[in-house]
Amino acid sequence: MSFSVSSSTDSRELRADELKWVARVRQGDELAMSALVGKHRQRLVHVAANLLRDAHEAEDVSQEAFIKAFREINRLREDRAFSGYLYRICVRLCMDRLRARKAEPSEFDVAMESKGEQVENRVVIERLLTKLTPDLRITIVLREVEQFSYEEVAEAMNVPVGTVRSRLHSAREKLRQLWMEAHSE
Amino acid sequence: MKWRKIKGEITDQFDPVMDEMLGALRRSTIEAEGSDNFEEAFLSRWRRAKEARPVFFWSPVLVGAAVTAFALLALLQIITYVPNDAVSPENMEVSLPASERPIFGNSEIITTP
Repeated sequence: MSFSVSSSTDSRELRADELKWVARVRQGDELAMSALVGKHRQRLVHVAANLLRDAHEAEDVSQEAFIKAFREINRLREDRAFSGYLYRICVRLCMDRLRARKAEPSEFDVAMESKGEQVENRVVIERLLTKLTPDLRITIVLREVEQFSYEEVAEAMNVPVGTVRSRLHSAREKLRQLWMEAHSE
Repeated sequence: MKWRKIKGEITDQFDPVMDEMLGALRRSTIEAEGSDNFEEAFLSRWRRAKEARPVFFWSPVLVGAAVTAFALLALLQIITYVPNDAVSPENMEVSLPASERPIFGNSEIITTP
């Protein structure tokens, strides 16, 4: 399975390039590292930003994920599984950061409050997401916001697909309940 | 659009609240791509991490070696320990009474100058 970064017809060529780059990274080639960073960074930062709800922290986590992925490249058994391996590291780092956080509204919430319905809904969503456990939060964001398939979510979170389905159901129900409470206030 | 299953019924029912909530969640996407100097910053961090790596990697070995050396020294000290009373004047030959002094069988062949 691969995490799609391009839907164009040359995806096969890109995959072949990626295999070469991963093989070169195993030998410590920094140019190949730059190539892999260039290929994956946009999507990875996007995913991290939506998991953490913080663009600056997302950039930091993404760089850390690349460093960890390249440093421990020998743990990767198959070169073609690089993207899944990279996202798994990134999701784990995001999970650690979310667990370390306190459940407080971010500065963004306070600054953007009461500026129209769309922004208001965004603020509500941000606040409600903080009330979910990191597992549920990551599952629902990867599936609903990042549009990962169930299999991709399972691979990124290193859990079976059945667990993803169950967590997704719990996350939707919990968020629905919180959403109703927030709008009844 | 989200359809909600109610108590396992075969027909699903449209759930407007879920639909609204999931719509709001999807619209709240943060459009981040990383800064322009992302790759430079990454390479700089990578090189720093690579330099720190050997020290980080070998530090447990160095600590282990130091502890082992200390333990060996302590062991050697214990093995080669000589209690003070073993060399006390009471145990020395010169301090023994004549009857307890060792007798050398060839004393008669010792000639005085």
